[in-house]
Amino acid sequence: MAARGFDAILDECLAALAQGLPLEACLARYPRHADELRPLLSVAQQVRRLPVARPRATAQAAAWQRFYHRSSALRMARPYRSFPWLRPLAIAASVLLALIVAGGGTIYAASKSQPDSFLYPLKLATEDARLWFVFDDKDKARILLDQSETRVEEITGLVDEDKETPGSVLSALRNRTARAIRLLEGESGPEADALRERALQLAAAHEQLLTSLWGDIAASARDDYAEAVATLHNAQLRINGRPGYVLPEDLGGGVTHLSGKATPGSEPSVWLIGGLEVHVGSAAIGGADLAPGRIAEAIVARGSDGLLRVLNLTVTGPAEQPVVITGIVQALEDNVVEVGGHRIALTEDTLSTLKLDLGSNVKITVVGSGDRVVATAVEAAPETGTEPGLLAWEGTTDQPLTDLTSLWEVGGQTFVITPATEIDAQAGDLDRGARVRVEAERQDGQLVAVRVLTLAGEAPDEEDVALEGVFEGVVDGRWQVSGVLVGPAGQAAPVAGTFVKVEGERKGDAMRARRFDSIYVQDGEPLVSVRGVLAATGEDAWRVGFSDVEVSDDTQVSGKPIVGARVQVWGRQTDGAFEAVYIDVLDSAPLPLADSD
Amino acid sequence: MTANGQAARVSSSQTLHEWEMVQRAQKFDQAALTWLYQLYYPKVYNYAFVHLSNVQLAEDVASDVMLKVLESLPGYRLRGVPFAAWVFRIARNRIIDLHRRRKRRGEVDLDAVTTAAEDDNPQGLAEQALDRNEIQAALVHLTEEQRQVIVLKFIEGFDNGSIARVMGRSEGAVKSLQHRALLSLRRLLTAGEA
Repeated sequence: MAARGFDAILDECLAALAQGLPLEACLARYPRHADELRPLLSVAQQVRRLPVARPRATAQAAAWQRFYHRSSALRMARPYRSFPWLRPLAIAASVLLALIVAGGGTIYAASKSQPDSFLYPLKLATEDARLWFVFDDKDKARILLDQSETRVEEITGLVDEDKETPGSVLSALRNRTARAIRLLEGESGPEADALRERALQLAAAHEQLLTSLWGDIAASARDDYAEAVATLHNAQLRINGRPGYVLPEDLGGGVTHLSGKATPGSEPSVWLIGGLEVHVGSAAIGGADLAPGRIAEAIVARGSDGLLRVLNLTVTGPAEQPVVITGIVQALEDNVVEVGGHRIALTEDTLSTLKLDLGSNVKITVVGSGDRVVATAVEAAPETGTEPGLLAWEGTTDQPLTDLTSLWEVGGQTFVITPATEIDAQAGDLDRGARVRVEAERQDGQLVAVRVLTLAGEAPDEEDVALEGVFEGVVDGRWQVSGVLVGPAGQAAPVAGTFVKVEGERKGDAMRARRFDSIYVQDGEPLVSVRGVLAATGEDAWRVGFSDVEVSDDTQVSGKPIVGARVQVWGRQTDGAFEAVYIDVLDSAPLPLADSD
Repeated sequence: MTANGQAARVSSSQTLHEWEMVQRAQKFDQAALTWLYQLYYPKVYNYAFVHLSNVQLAEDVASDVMLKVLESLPGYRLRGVPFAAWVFRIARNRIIDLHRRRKRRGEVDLDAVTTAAEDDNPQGLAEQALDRNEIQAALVHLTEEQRQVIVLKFIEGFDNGSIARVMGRSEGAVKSLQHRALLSLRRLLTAGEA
């Protein structure tokens, strides 16, 4: 009998294993080949244990709709198989029938509907139907990209109206972007190249917008959100011919903005940014110049597995810190908005989650200098005078921040950290003993951190804390400021609604005040706030970022003015100048310069 | 004919039932089409997902394949080719087309990262394995034929005869491919652990 080949022996053992025979029993049949067989059979068993990937119910249902409609069309078309030209007519007839059933007015109304309308699915279906009659893939891709832009306008419209973003609009955004990219993959030539470039820019802008909206997304729409962000991110990688990808579950725990000094981690793809461990894998966009000691700004996804993965990375420096202006829109022209006397250009790259109107209270992040001042982001300003009020708290941490979903204590005050919390750790890592400023909103009795900022300079006494917030009234002889009890202040209580800064010590569940400043009374138009790095000081004027700020004997200053430190200025426009009422110097030393590479 | 080959023949009541349902589906019988869809969409999705490692692409492939199956259904004749093998041949061709299109354009596959031939950097593989299921990440690095054999045999549960029909190869060639595929997979997984 001829000796059996190893391929056959392996196959026999694999069949035996599949029928439940133990591995050792298989090996015992062929002792001479046992060493060679063992690892292969073991791998085969590993593969057999690979969990089955289950399709999402929504995708399966959508595919079923396609399948079902196609089968109906085929069933109807069978007698007319010899007249294939009738097929488009049959489709046209179907659409016509739909129009008759639904009514032209309904279709028109649906075309104007928003994602929270019951007519919205009809709007999407009508958009899909439009593509049936477009036979050129480039034209189809162009229409799909237009539709993606419409989806994003719908999303910003919802955010602007403080409405939740439903999954349907996110799913439609994902679907249209993905289809456009795939259609373009089969196309070549200048027109296709231009469309690919447009698709790339849109995907980047739309991803940036969505990553700033995680906190605004309804819990029920989080899966659709994760899929949409993953699609937009992967689209950019794909168009650029880059390897790597992210999966929706990589974004299952939310998306956050993080900045801080970069330090190499335990493995080549692991870095610490501001003390938080992040994975910089092949799917990260940007950051080619990342090096130890550099300041990095990252958009980070928290996966369902708890790992933080970098989506986008920019290596920057403290000098590039933006200026943030908060106030009422005083003038609005074509692509220029005026707030507190600052004229700010709006460009195609401005990330806006707000429909700008005269009189609306906005927060604008600005970069530039001299005549060229450009808004990078526009959002609604927090309403400091009403619930939920915004509170800023400074204190010393007694524990490092290690995750983005945790309770974190700063100066004896507990804050809820979420992926929507922006983290700026450029002045130092979020370690034990760091001096930290937390801006938070009161929600359901808890303080939810909106922004965490490490402060530069020598940390004062651990017990020292400071608080900015709205004075709400006197409770049991103590002042209540944005929900925090302070007392005794040793002076007459201000008018309720006054925006105040209190410095003191934390004692148990209350704060003992040492110094109290009234910043402004919220009985009229709130002051304009400008936050940035102090670039120069003078007798009559300081420069904060690009903004000239007039100071006078009436200007209150908290902290020592240090060039290179961050300051928050409250003021008003008077005779064409921005006049400071209150200046809070946040850092007690200049921001550390990033190490050069 | 081998035991596996015998299994591929229309001999079991299960296969006969399948053949009856397929015949009804060829006449666009609604119940039969529903059966066909519910049975094969998840299987094709799983098959595509293992190949592409991308939920969205796998969904699109599964949807496209089901439409192609539907459109090609009137032309299916039993003739010893199991229906499942016929469906998976369509799925395989769809995935190969997808890969070819990108390769022709000189693009690196978004989902498949790189192939083993192009990237034998164990460190890169190890990093990738950190994030994704180790085996699925390693499968990406096999040749297309090796991956087909592994997926069809150990994930979809096909016998050698059916795999041979899906791939258009002999059963002997399938066994040989199976051997080489397991060797490669073992080597990749070991490199990932290193």
